[in-house]
Amino acid sequence: MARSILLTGATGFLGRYLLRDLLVRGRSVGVLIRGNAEQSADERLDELHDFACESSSRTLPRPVLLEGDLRTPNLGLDAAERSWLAREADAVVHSAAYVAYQPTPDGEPWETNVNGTYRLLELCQSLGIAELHHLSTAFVCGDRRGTAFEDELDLGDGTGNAYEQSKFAAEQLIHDYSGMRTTIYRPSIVVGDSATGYTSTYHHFYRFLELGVRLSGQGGKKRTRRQNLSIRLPLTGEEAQNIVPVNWVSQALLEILSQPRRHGSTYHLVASRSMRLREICAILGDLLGFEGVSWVGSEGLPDATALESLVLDQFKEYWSYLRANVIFDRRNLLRALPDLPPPAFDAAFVSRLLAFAQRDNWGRNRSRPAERDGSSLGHYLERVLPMRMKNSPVAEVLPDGLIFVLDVRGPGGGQWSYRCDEGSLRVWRGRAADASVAYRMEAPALADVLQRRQTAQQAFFDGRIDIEGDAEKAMKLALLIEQFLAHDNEVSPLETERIHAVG
Amino acid sequence: MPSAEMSRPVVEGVRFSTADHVLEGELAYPEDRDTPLGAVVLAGSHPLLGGNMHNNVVRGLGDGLAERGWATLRFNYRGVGRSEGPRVDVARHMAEFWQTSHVSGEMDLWQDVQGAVDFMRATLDPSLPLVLIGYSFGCALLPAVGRAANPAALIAVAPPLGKHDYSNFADSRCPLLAIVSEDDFTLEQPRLKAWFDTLPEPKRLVQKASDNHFFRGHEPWLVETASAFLEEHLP
Repeated sequence: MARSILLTGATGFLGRYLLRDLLVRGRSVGVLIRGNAEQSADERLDELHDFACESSSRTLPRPVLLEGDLRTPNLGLDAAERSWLAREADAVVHSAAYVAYQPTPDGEPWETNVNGTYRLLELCQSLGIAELHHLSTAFVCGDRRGTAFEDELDLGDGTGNAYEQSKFAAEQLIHDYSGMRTTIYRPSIVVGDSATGYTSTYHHFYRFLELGVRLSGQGGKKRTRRQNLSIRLPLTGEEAQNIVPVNWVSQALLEILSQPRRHGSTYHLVASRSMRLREICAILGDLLGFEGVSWVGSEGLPDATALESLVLDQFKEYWSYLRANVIFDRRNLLRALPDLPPPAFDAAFVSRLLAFAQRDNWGRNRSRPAERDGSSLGHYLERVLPMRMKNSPVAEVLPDGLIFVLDVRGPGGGQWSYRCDEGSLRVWRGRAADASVAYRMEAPALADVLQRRQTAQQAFFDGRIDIEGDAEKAMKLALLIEQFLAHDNEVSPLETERIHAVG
Repeated sequence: MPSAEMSRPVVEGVRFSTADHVLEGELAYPEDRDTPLGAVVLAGSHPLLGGNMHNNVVRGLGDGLAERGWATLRFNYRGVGRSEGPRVDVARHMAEFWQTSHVSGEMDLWQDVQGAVDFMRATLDPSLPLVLIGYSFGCALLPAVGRAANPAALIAVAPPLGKHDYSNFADSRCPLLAIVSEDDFTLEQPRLKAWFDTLPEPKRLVQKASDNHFFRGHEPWLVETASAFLEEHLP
């Protein structure tokens, strides 16, 4: 039986796919997440879990939250969290990374990418976790020309950007660290989902895509007559760009992860064929209705027009990628995954990326997490229910010491453990190992019970709730919950009305 | 006994009186039969453990047997749903119930089953055979009703033998079918055997793992088992 996996970087673009795909594969996952200024770690996990359920159309269990930060000793995990890891986890998928192409005043990207990786390795070693799956980047090859091999680590002249240098240093660190069986994955340029176009970030390729939309002046809509841009670019147009969709990267990594005999190697998670810049430009021109981009070679553009200067300024951050002309060796990848070729980067794919980005207004009008509905199921179960139970006549008949679990699947779901404790309910996230009773259900079934559209017992008889553990206690406790809800509804009908109907 | 035919049931909401209360029920009968094969009264599980007329076992047997030609009545005990009677007083009942799985006065609910039998006798041709079916706690109420009602058959589904007195089933004078789930949390095999040995013939014990005490997903099997028994034993 596979044990749990510790996943770092789940809030990242690729991380959320890794989390989803691990859950879909039935793996138990503990995720290292830190809170930020806008959201608590819990809320961030809620959002990731919702994404996993919605994008897979599955009701997936909520992962175990390990609230911590790669930038603090022991990753900021408390004793209980470390004990959970020691007991449950046997592998770590390390996808956390700080993406900054220039050094920041607080030491990034090295602090997270190198020192954070070191802290993770130390923690894993102290907890007996011996299997590491490390997300690197194909661009640890820096400015190399020719073929970059999977089995070598060579930054060329060492002139890669800060991010590449930090990822290179992290690989070196891992390579020199004994006691871990390490598998390294190096994706190339990662873009949105090849099936849906979904992305959560708008860097790199998207900057060019959006620039194309603006210059063509058509908001991405095709026009009958092409807009002539008359732009010269100081490139040859032959530069090779290796682009892969996020869903394939995640799938490929997890496929290798599921084959222990393939562990211990390095894999370039890259496209079988790189695209020439002029090919990409042609696809964009067809989609957006522009022409007139010319390639004047790599010698620079001393007499750039104002428009050309603007475009080059947009490219500045990515110049090293645009000029890269490296071929990525894929022999390890092909040996491990002969039947999982990456989807082709073609006009249909780009058009899906474009359509999603435009619907999402390039990420600019995404609702802020703080605006999420404050009356969520989690909020009700953790705050409102225990508080109101105290004032309920049911409190005095709560069986002291009884521990029960609500295991709620689907969007808004999660696992909550409750202990009846002298007339009150003590609640915590996760599944108590010593619970007498666990109720398993999908979120809409629980919402129906809480809003008294159906009693808990009836939902059980109708097969919408399952019971694990002591069936008699479970039925009796369900009655107590019903009695509580009936009384609570009489006292304050609005409170239960406000629980949003999940699903 | 004519062979049972499958026909769509009609389900009517009904109200009937017992000695003390007016109870609600659902009468199910075949749409395309002038005379049903007989009357079936269903006594559900404990009202504090989901015992109501919407329970999957009660509803499954009620509708399933009606499809096979029987007129069936399921109902809510006093104080449940829209049946008259005192509601559960949490503070008074729950502590006791949590500890013992009993509440005072629960055995009086046999009067509710009696009211259901009286209603069926008054509604249908009283010469039709009467079958009493109990599920869980409802099984314990059957003998008290059976003494006066003179049923043609008794069916006990998942009788929780350790929780009530079932010794008076030995006095029954009609065919008896016991259906037990092998993975029932209330089941004690030695007690089941000892009890079943005391019962007069004709009798049958059918056991199968059927979702603990609850038979979720096994309702058609319950109908099939009950129907086959009735076909075999009723004249």
